[in-house]
Amino acid sequence: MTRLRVALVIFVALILQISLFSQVRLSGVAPELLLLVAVLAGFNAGPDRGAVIGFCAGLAYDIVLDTPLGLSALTFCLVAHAVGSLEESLIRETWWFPMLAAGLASAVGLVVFACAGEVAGQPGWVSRDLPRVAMLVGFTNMLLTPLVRGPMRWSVGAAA
Amino acid sequence: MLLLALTAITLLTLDGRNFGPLQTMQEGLRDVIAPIRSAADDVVSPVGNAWNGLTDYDAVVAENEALRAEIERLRGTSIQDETALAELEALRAEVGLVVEDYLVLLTEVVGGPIGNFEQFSIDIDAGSNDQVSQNMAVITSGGLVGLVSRVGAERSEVRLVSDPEFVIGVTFADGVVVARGTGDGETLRVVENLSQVPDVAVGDPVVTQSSLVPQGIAVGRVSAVERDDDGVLQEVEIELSAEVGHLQFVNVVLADPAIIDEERTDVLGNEFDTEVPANSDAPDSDEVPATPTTITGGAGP
Repeated sequence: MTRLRVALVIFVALILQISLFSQVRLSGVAPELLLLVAVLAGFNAGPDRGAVIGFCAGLAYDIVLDTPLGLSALTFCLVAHAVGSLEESLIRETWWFPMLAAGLASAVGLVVFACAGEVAGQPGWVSRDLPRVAMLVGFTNMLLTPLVRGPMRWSVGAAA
Repeated sequence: MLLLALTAITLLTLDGRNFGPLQTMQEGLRDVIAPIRSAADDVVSPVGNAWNGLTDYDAVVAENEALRAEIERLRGTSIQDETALAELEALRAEVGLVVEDYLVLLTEVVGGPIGNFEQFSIDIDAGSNDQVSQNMAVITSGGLVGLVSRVGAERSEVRLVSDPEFVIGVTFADGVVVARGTGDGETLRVVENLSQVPDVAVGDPVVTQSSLVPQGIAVGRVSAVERDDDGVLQEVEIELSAEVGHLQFVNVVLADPAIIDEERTDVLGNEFDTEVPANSDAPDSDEVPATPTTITGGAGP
């Protein structure tokens, strides 16, 4: 049942990413909804389960992108695992902390993705514009966190 | 975690080596997702249009005014153009210029970049079911837009001419050279075989000269020429004539893939032979050039 829920969340996020959020951009930068799914998976499901969910979300994203197959899967898996590993040491007493953490993790995740892309032979991904893109992705993902957090908790359960 | 990472790296490696079954699976899944994406686009497009209208209002107004002025100018020159076209056709019949007979398919642009790292591609509503195949040229009335890079059953992806990895043979001032995309959406940069182009001037027209696409498709005009102190080495910048940033409808040139020279490369670029192949299908000099035929496919307006 949990697997089906996770698959449903990933599928809906994918459809929203390729339809709505490919058009709704902030200064030319689109939110990275599947990266947010991976981050929140790490936050709610821990490093190991979060890594699996991040891998699946990234792989689903890779299918529709023109980027190398497996790149998003690798990056999202690593980001989810890192977030899950750090989650236990985080203080979450404020309502805004999850949003801030998700936004920051998304920005870092985008930078990791760009670096991995350069290693995989994609020229120009690490450029002067990368910090701006990463900041905007972090900002938009931070705003979307309340919308995605609920479905993620429903699919994998809340963090301990 | 380690297993997942190794799996992802394996996929990356296989994808980099163009592993056939993996690509086939990916294309199949894309074909499955395509109708869902189309339906979702129809549902959410009002939201996207409202957002873009809010964020780009001033630009839209300015563009509207510029387009009105351009329409007025074109009306004034249309009569002159008709006369010039008749003269050109007569000249072509006399001097035996090579004119390729080709079909074009009018189709709609149905998708743009999805993420933040593939800014140089669009999706069109035509695929293998519409006789589209890889490396076919995609054009508008302004000129070359790009080449078909991936083909699905109903949709295809077009790599835009502004892509940094885009490579095309072009000609100007009677010299055939190789031009590469610069990724800024407005220019191409000529970087190879510049010795074949002795006298290039700003404003010179540039057209395609490649076995991948029909000859003579407009690419743009020379916008800058930089020469070294000795005047030997030069770098030429071409301003694109097609507006690749705001595409709604495009034409796919259904050129016969059999004309592609097996020694040349695809749009992803390897060693590129810029010699012009002998066109065995070229009409004789005394034949009347055929008129391009347009067929309409896909969703249409």
